[in-house]
Amino acid sequence: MTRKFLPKFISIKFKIILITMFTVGVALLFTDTALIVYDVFAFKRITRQKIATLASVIGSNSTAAITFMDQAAAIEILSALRKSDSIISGCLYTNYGNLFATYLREASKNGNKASFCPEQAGELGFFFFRDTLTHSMPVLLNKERIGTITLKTDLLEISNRLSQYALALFITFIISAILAFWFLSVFQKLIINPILQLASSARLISQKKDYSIRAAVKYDKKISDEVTLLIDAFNDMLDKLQEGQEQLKEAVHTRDDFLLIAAHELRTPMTPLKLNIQLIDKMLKAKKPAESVLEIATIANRQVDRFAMLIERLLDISRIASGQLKLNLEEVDLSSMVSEIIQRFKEEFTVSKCSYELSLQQPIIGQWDRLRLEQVIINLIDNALKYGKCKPVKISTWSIANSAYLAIEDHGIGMTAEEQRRIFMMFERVVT
Amino acid sequence: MNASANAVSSAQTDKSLEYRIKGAFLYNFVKFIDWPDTFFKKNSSPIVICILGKNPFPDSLLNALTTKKIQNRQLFLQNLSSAKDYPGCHIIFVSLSEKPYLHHTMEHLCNAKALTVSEITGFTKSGGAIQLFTDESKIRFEINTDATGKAGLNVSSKLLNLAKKAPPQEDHKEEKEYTQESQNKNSDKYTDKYND
Repeated sequence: MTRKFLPKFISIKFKIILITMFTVGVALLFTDTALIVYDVFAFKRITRQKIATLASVIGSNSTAAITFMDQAAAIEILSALRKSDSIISGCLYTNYGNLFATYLREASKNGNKASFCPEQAGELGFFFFRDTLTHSMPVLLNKERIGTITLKTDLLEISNRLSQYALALFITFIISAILAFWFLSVFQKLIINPILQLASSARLISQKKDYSIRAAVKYDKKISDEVTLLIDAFNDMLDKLQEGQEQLKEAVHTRDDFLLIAAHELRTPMTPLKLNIQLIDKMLKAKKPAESVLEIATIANRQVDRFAMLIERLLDISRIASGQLKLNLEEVDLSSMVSEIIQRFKEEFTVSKCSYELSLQQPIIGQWDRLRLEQVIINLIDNALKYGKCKPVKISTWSIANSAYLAIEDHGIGMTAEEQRRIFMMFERVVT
Repeated sequence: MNASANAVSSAQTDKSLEYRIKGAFLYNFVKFIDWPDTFFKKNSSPIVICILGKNPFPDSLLNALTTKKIQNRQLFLQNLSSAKDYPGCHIIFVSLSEKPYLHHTMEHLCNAKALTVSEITGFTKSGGAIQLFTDESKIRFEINTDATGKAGLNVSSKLLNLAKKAPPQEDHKEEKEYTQESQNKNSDKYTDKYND
């Protein structure tokens, strides 16, 4: 319900100021209240002590006056009370409790009310009544009670003090509020500015889509706080974003390169295929003998097969990328597969006049997808033939424990460690 | 105090009231004087009040006083027939009857380690310590601090504050105030105040 009455946006600056001012206010209020309460109690205690001392001195001084029934002397002694503004009345009583001498504060003075002394001595002790304190005590001579003295004092000083306190409280409150407000206006920048910087950096990044922008940390790193942590986390996140973005760019670049190469590879067999089909077309129109047409058609057919194989490989790539590649595992002997493939390459080796070495451990039986594995071996041998500078290619298989090893070694330009790492990533190829 | 109040409340129009009050004064003087221990033989020795000449105090008052204790000492009354007999007295009241022989009496008493009290006019001038007199129908007293000092007595400042500074000048004035009329007035005033 209360949310309704609050604006939707309240700045941290305002909140900090509000919280601090409230804290300062409450603290001041409690401190001052405690002080006032203590002061009132202390004042009452002191007033009691003062009035008791005064009564005892006046009483002691009046012993002779009471004993010798010298009323004038007693009144003179009591008149010393005039020195104290707060004493309303002083009453001396004989041992029989009869009023003997009185001192009354002038009624007109400071708007004080007229006072009086009761005809009979009252009870002994202290009595707080409204704004007055009455104290009665015995007058002793040689430890013998010869009368009673009653002093009555006003407690106007308490109310005066209270109003002075209220004023002081109000003034200190205002001054504290102003000071706190000023300090906060100065120091809130320490908290607010980094946050504002962070916010503006974030806005800039989302506008420009530039992940190289970083939130600046202008102040000393040693004075780290939650905002510093936030900025650090923000910058870390940007680092990761930037890295990711660069990787993505690189990946896109690699893919584009690959597509270019793939298109080129696909176009290469396309040209002789088209020529052959045109040739078949011409030969059929010229009604050439079927044998010669069939010969060309066989070549074209082989070219189409190769073309299909290329397309199949491309499809494999997309299957691998989308995780749709399924392996048909079956029991295969790796060594016999290698020697079978080598038989197929025999002609190419003899044509290119290159040699090879075989070192096969018989047999190495495992669960493989025959076609894929064949493809791997063919690719590697093909690659070794292409880039092996016609030096002997060494092909070996062996097994250790549960692992099978296949090594095809050529003596071409080779690959750096970095290239070896990259070669297993998608669309990657090493520049030749 | 008690004696004084009793005297006041049972005020009569004769000299009895006056001497009751004066007797009470005598008793109260004892309270406002610091009695050195050297004045007494023993800790329990009584304070001896001696009356030189004709005893003016009513017997009832004197009996009441002897039952009292001041500073843990009993009061003891003694009549002196001659001023020479003063040793052993702590307070010596010189009766009006001694007025004609005052000079001679004081020759003896000036050396006494005692408080001398009298209602004889000019008593303090003659070397006496306290002189009682009546002023505006009230019984007042005058203290000769030289005499009390010489006697080795410390008189309380409270008592000195009540004492009249200047001694009365003339005998006849004092005599006049002892008239029936003034005494009536005096007693009326007291009864007004205390008999309600």
